[in-house]
Amino acid sequence: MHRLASLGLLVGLIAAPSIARPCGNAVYLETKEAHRLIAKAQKHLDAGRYRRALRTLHDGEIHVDDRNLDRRASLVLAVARMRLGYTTNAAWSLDHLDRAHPNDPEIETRLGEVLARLNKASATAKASKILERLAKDDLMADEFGYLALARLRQASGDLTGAKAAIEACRKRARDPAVCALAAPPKKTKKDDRPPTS
Amino acid sequence: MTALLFAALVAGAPPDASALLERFECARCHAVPGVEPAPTARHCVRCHEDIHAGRVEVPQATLHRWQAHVKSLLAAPDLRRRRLDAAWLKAFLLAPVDVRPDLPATMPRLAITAAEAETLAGFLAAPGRAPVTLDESRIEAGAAAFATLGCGACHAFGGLTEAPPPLPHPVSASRSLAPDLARTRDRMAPAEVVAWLLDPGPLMPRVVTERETAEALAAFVVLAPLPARAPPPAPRFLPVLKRKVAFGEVWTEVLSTVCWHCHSAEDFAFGDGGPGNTGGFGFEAPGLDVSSYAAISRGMRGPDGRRRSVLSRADGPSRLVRALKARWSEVRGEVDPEVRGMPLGLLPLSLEQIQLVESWVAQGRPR
Repeated sequence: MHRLASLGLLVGLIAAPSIARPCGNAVYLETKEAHRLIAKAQKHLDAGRYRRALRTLHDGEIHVDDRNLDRRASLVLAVARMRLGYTTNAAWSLDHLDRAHPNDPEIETRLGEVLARLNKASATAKASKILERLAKDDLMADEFGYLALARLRQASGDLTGAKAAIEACRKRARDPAVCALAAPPKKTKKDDRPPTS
Repeated sequence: MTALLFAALVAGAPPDASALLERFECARCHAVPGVEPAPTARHCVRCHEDIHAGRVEVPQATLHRWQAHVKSLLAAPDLRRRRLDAAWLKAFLLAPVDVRPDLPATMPRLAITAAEAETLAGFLAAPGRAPVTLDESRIEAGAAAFATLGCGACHAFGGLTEAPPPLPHPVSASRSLAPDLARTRDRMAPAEVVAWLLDPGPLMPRVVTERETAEALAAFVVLAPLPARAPPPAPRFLPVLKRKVAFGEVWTEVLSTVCWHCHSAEDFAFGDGGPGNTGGFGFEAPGLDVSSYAAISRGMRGPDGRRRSVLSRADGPSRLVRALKARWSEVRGEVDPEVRGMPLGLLPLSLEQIQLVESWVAQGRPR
């Protein structure tokens, strides 16, 4: 029994990552290791491997001391979650990040993207405001921001604006196929009827 | 808060040399009288020396890549021996010129006011010594000594003598710091030239032992008529490419080789994203990070703190391309007051590199 316990302890010591140490329920990452993992997770994210990006960062159960590293890690996690459809969770994270790092166009782009996905008029109005400003100032982080803007413009009936945003998306995109707008819903006779009270 | 208080004190009080030396971080490159050198991690020259000596703990492949890239800031002038003229130094701080042809870096164009430059120049300039009058009739003897002592092996002399032969990289500090002697008549008083020749700094061989020879050499260096100096020819920038240029290529060929060093991610070196991002050399956190597509798209902070795109072509050429082209103008002595030439204080990017960046921006910056 003693031998087994010693062996278990030895295996535990060898297997435990020396660069990470436990901190409550989170994995506390030392700076160098955090750099490595965040860069790896970012690569997964860029390649569309969202679940692997999340797993690389321990599904968010991490703690990083450095403010800027924490920003990067949180951003990767939030974007991966957003792309996987965990919109509410991602929206909360991005709103929090935006408050912690104001005037950061990359965070603002992601916040605009995620708010545009929420099925709430106040959220989409805020998304429009953010993304329109970023487009006007030419500070949109990438094609996904323009795609979200195009969808918002389409939904509001601004088809010319939507087309321009799609064009900007295509110019920036590594794969222009991502810049696709769903066909606008066809008007039916029912839609033309005046609303009844 | 402390920084704000410090800034307020500096702004409100008459500029003080030591505060300015600290603000402009002169000790990150130079040995400065009365100032401790910056720690190695923030000392440009020591860090680069360590890279070439293999004293940095990185994988071998990374080390070799860095050694191939790091060609600048392997040496910087020692400011402890105060020998320069104050008026020249002030003008130099305000509009740096290339003094040392074999040094692949010049003094960066700092965000410095005329009053600040005057204060710094007053502190760093020669304190003054008994004047020496040079004799024009000694120019020929000086020219002969110049040839006999082999001064031309290291020093250029504005085309008056044959330029030193080019050497392979990395060039030794003594050679790369050797100034073009055509500038000496503006930089130093005759008495300082004579004193320097008799007792030079550690990088220059002590070959002149007699005062008579020193004065003859000084007469040659200071009084010999110089051929007219033509500015370097204006560059002929290349047209934008028709083929597609994606961010990856711009990153590999340009951003990662030069720009990223001063405009890296905030967390790259324990919170130091470089002077072009988190601040340094007197620049207040411009916030430009070029380490990724999304990062460069964030632009940089303007004087009002708001971010502005460096890639937008809404009002003409993008700020990024303007800065890269402005560096070529600076080398020719033309300063754009609105745009600081980049890379700051280094050789301009090649025309092909600028073409690549300009093409990428013109194509709508594909990822």
